[in-house]
Amino acid sequence: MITKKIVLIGDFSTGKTSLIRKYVDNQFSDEYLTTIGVKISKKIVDLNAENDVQLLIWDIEGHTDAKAMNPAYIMGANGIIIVCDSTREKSIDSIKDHLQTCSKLLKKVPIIIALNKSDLLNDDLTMKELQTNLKNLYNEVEFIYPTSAKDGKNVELIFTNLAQSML
Amino acid sequence: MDEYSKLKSLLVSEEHEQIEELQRNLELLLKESRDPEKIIEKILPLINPIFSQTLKNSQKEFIPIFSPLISLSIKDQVKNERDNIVDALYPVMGSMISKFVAEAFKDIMIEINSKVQLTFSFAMIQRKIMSKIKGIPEAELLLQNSAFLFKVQNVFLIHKESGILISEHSLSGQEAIEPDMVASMLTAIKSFANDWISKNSDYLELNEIEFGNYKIRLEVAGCCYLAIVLTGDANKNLQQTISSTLEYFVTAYASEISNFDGDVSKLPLEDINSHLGKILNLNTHVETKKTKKNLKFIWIFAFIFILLTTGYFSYQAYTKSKLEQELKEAIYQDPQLNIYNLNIDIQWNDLILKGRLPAKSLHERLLHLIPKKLDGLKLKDEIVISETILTKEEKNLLINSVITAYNYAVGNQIYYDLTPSTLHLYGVVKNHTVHEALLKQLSKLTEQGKIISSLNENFQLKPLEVYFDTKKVLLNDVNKVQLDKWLNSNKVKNNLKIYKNMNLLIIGFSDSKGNIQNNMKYALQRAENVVQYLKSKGLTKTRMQTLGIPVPPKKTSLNEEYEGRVVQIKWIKR
Repeated sequence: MITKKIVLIGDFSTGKTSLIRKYVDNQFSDEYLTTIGVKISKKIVDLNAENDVQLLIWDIEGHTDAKAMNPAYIMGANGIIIVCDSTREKSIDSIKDHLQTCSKLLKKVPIIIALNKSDLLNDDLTMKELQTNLKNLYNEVEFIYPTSAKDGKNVELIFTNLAQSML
Repeated sequence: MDEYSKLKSLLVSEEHEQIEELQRNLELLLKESRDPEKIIEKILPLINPIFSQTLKNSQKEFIPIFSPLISLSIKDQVKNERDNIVDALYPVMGSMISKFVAEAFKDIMIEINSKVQLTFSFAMIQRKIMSKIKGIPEAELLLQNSAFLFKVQNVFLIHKESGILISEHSLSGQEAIEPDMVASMLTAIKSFANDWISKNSDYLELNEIEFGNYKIRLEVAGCCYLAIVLTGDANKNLQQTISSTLEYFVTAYASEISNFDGDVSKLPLEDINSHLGKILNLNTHVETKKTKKNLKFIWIFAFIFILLTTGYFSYQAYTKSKLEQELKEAIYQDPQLNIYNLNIDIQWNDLILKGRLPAKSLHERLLHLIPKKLDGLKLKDEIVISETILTKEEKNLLINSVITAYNYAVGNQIYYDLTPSTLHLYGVVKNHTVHEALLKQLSKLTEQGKIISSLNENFQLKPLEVYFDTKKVLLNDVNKVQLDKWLNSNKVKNNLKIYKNMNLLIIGFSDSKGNIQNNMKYALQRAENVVQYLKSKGLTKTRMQTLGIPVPPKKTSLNEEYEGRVVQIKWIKR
């Protein structure tokens, strides 16, 4: 079986842990627990008859002004999901920095942007606009999806799409 | 054109062209001198010869110029291409460190050896025996023994950057749960420690994680690392195996592992697994069960050994005490020796004879009692022969003991009289040989003293036979003369005098004719008549006994014509 390392990066409280929890355990909680260090989860993705991919999903502590990411956690990743809070502009602005970090530490690996907490954004139009803007800004990014760990929107999709791109 | 111009052109046109040519060349050179590309193109072929020439001529001047540059380049290289440098240096450093460690171990071993030789314990004896059997220095055994305590449970080979598991080996029953997660988590922990402690600024590595009795040893190379879960302490052997295994992976599969993309099928997994297996195999040589078995064996061995030695020594002690008892008895029964205070003692392997004897002959007599074969015992003769002049009492005692011994034998009845200068013997001895032996022995005892022997050598116990006519019981004149002559003979007189313990048995016989009652009467009467006659001649009645037998004696050696009508006088012991 092929094993791949996926790292979820993003500012603090963007919902990295919740996305993983939803994806791996199909659970969601409103309670916010900050991640310290790393949490690692495993999920086997059944892409087609012959290719099973084992994903080792690294949930690392959110990036804040006070504490930069530990680059060692990102090293060797086969795929990256940049998670931002679609209701917090600052977290969307940070995408640039995250992409820079990735290009510095990694060879060319597929990157997906998850615009999380889409359930909190009432206006669909705003989301569409956001997606298009980001796509124009960062054309190296594979996909940009609105996601919600709460209602499970696109959660499965971002992981399977990333798995597919990594092969 | 005027004439002058024509002339001028004719005369200087050649020079003019030359000047123009020069001017063009100059312009070209000036242009080239400003074009770096052209300059490089021109100088490039010359650089190598210049460098080699200058380096050859003035190497010393160049070293200080280039040294800072080289150091800077290495620093830069280490900073930017750290993993490549680690991979390149790992095999060299590994063996360098191993060599250094081996040297250090040698010193430790010498120190331990010297200490071990000074301490004494059961374990030490066991170790000493093992060391002799196996031919390994004790210190190494000591270290190996301490290694009986370690046990490798799991071995992980992990891709360093991604933390993806390349391969894993476990003891059966000790399989890791979710080895992939473990590998990732270990990598994360390693990164966390690195970030937290050293701020990723230098090249320190997390080497060990300890948890109670468990340890996770991390051996890190540039592209991958080994994580070994074990209980107890890793010994030299394990450490070496771990290092050499990782060294092998780095040397053989550096590029494959560096470019590992999570697909293990692209790696030479079989070879990798066999090498990982080697680390686990170290366990089989140090199974605790085996030591227990050995220990059990040693206990049984010791028990049998003790049993055998105790048995052997008890048997030895038994045979020794038996011999001692026998010898003491022999001395006690020997009338010549039992009067002296002789001591027989068996100590360890010595049979010790102690005491004081007055004569060599007695010493010889004593030695004669001791068996020739002593079963490994050594005779230690500490008998003192004090040939001092004996007192009369001592002499008397000695002679008495010798003569008493002789008198035990039938046919000897020896008496003696001891004066300060003379020993007077009288009585009877059985024969000449006995007489000689007695005199020889006594002469040794009496030293210079004189011996006068009046011993009679031929003691005759031949019976006297007195014959009777048919139906006659009274003694006739011939009978009386015969009896007188016998009774008055010196021999009989002496015998009666000396052998106080001997009596005369007077047996009457009859012929075989007539009835048995009559014959009995005749036989008894004949014997009685002889007794009466002897009594009348002065012989005490108490020294005579009578017996009647109503048939002829079995062998009438003398006179056939009397048909057994005879009285025999025999000497008997009272």
